[in-house]
Amino acid sequence: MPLLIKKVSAVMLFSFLPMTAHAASGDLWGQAVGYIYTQQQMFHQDLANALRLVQELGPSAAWGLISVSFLYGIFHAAGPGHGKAIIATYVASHERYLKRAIGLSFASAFMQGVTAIALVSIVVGVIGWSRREAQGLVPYLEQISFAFVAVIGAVLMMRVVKGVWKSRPMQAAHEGHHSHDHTQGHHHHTHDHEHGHEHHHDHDHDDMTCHTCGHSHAPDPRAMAESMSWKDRMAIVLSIGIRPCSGSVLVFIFAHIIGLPVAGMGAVMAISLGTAITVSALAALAIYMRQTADHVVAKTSGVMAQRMGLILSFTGGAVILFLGVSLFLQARMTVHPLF
Amino acid sequence: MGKVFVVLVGMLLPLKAHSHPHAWIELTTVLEFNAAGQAIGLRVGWLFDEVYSLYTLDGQSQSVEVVTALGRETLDNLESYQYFTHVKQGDKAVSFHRVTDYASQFKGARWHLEFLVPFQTPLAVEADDLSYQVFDPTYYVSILHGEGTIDQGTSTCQYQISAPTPSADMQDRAENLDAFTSAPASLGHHFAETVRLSCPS
Repeated sequence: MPLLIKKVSAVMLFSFLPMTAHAASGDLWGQAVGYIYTQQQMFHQDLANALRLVQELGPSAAWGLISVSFLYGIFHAAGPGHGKAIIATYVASHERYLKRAIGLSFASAFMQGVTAIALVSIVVGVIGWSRREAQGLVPYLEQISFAFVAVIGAVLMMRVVKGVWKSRPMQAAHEGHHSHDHTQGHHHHTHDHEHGHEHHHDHDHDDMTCHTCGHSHAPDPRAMAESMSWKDRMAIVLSIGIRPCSGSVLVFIFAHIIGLPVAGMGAVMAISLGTAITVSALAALAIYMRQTADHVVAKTSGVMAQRMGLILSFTGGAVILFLGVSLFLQARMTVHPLF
Repeated sequence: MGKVFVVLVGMLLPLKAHSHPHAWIELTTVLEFNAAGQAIGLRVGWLFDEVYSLYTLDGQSQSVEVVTALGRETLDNLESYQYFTHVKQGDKAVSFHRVTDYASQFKGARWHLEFLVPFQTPLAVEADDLSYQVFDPTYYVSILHGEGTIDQGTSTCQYQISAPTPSADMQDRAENLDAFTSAPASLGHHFAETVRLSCPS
């Protein structure tokens, strides 16, 4: 029993690490963030200069602009931000494949860039509002994004609760079918599909309990996560991507004003690429931590492994819900006097 | 390794919705005194970065009317934020009147806004008990003194700027027992410079 408690607390600690680390090491953290901010300011200034150079020298200066934008993206994403927190939490609690985690990071970063370009182009170019009004729409998109994030967190939690409910000992496994056809329908399809391609990495092959649970309707959180993961990832990309990166909006507006919208688009895409790389690195770290945790858990009994998986999935959903709700509440109060 | 881990974990913190700075202000500050030697206000100068300056003009010309109106509008918006300015005498927050004395102009491609934040009542500054900070609580805008940006003028007071390192911030709090509690505890506060005044009497 003490072992179980230890394991549970390890999972909980792992899930809440982002929150506790700040309190424990504010000093080092503050210095690191300070460094990142200084770099960011330099690149931001370089970015303005690079755009000016393109204005003076023409397309031959474009590479300078692209590379500065790329570096700006890397450092910009290295600061605190909610997109990363959500991706890392989701990946740590629901994802096991590095490729998908990186895909998720890239898709989210690029959608943010595209949203920035679309927002400015449509609102300023087509509707004819002022650029300030375009920037003024960003908080609304943020609100939508945060609400969406909260809903995703709630759905992830509900899924675990439903899974546990369905697998009550007295309940026949198949009764779940009617009420949960969305989940179940995809369950078979996706699970089988993934099984062929990717499941061979799994630690659970020699684990009798979990080997069977994929074929019965016991709540194997992994099978559930697999089955829903495509929809999950779409939802996460949309929730993060709908909120344009404010830095990109500013840079694109700047490019627009000096008459270089195409160069501005190139700069925004390069910023997205830099952002994607930083976020991917973080997602890879989360995958690595997850795999280490999985490895430890896989050594215990199958029932235990299942429970740990459920706790992890539930906690991940709870953290995402918390992030969404707290960001939503904060954002409502924030109207910046200078923007 | 431990450091790398802390940095990576720190990156996960969502903090405020508007966290990273997206605009940078080079700050100048100086106290203004009346004939009786009392401090009547803090004169604050903000030199904005080029991207923000162009953004805020929004395609308009840099005419005197436009730029003056921009200054007025910005200061009106900032009124409920105490102009991002926090002044303390001892451990008491100093309250301000509305800003009426300001100058708004372009220096090349960069916008310069200067304004006097008038104290509600003139302060007798005798000891070294006056300190101030200028910061954006959301840290959406970074506001820092540049090199040699405090012009002491004819004043005999010495200005001492403390860099916004978190460790200095901690020290500061320990020394002042929560000197700036009126300011929202926030990321911006974490990265704010503190200027302390010592005036030999």
